[in-house]
Amino acid sequence: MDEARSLFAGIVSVHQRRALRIAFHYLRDSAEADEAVQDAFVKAFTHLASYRDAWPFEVWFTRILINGCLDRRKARSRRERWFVRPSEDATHDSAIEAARDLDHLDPEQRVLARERRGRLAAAIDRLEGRQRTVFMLCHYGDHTPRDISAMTGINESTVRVHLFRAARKLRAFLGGSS
Amino acid sequence: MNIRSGHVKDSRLFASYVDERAGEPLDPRVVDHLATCADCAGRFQDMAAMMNELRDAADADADAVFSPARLEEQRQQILRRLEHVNRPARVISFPGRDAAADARPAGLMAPRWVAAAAAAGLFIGFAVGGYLGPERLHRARTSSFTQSTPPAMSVQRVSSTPAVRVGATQPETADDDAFLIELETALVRHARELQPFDAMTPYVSDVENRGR
Repeated sequence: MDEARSLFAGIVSVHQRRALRIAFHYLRDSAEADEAVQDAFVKAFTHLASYRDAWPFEVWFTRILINGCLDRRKARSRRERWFVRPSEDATHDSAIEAARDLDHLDPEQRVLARERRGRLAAAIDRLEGRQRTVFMLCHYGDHTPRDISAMTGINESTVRVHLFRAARKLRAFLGGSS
Repeated sequence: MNIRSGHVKDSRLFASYVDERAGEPLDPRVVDHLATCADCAGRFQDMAAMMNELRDAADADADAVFSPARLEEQRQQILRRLEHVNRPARVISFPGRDAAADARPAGLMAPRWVAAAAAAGLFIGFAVGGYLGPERLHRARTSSFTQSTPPAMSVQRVSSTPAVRVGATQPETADDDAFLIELETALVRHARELQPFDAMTPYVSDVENRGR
């Protein structure tokens, strides 16, 4: 068992950053993304016996992660139905600005950067659920359409259609020419 | 591809961009066309630039928040959690429990503790309830309201339901989720007659959105 844990520690190191990127943009909350990734790794470890190597570990793991993120989003929307919550955009932005070295930017540039980030986040939130998932997995998770098809159970050609529509909507919303 | 009209469709251009990123072979007809058509090549570059910019900005944000130190901290936390996988939970023995008590059968001890805990809970409940009481509670609420509200505002209509604010400091536990799921299930399945009232009642988010 200890040997399995130490081997799994290596797997965590390899996949951790990418998993955090996906979870962070999916949940837009660093603490929640942190928990989601931890939970996904622990769940993957406890269910290692059910892993079949027909697909790479990453595909299987990302599926667990995405399901966890979806559950968290559902739980959050359930809570927000009943409780007031501080604006998530504000916490998201402040976390990023606190972490990123933006001192070299003047106040106007910071405001513009924040506005652009806000518009992008709003545009992504406007995407239909599957489009959002597919877009995030492809562009933030660096997964191929084939991998995404395996993760989500959506046909590969449908994944490509979702990707294109998502990109077109984002481009239109962000003021592109398409 | 719709080369007949002279240009490649956006969807084909985007598919080529995705294939290129995935390291898959591109459609040779698209490649040939892009080599000769400046318009399509420009559209392809614009599209690729926009997508790359989106991704790079998002990656930079995430990587800034999750610094190498935070990644290491998270890794250690995951490893700590893995250590407890498949291990039985530790049972902390009750203080003052002696060897003689250990020798007694657990079946006799458990009901006594349960009975004692239930009695203590009842006693505390009655005591606190009797001390506060509904009248006292009402008075306390009224007095705190009048203290915090200036006289000039006393004629104004006050919001009937105080909003509950959930912040980062307030724990959002699984119990809350379980409760909310139960609540919504009850609304959907067991109280159909209450649904019209539920529909008429504004949610906090609706009120907030209206205020914006």
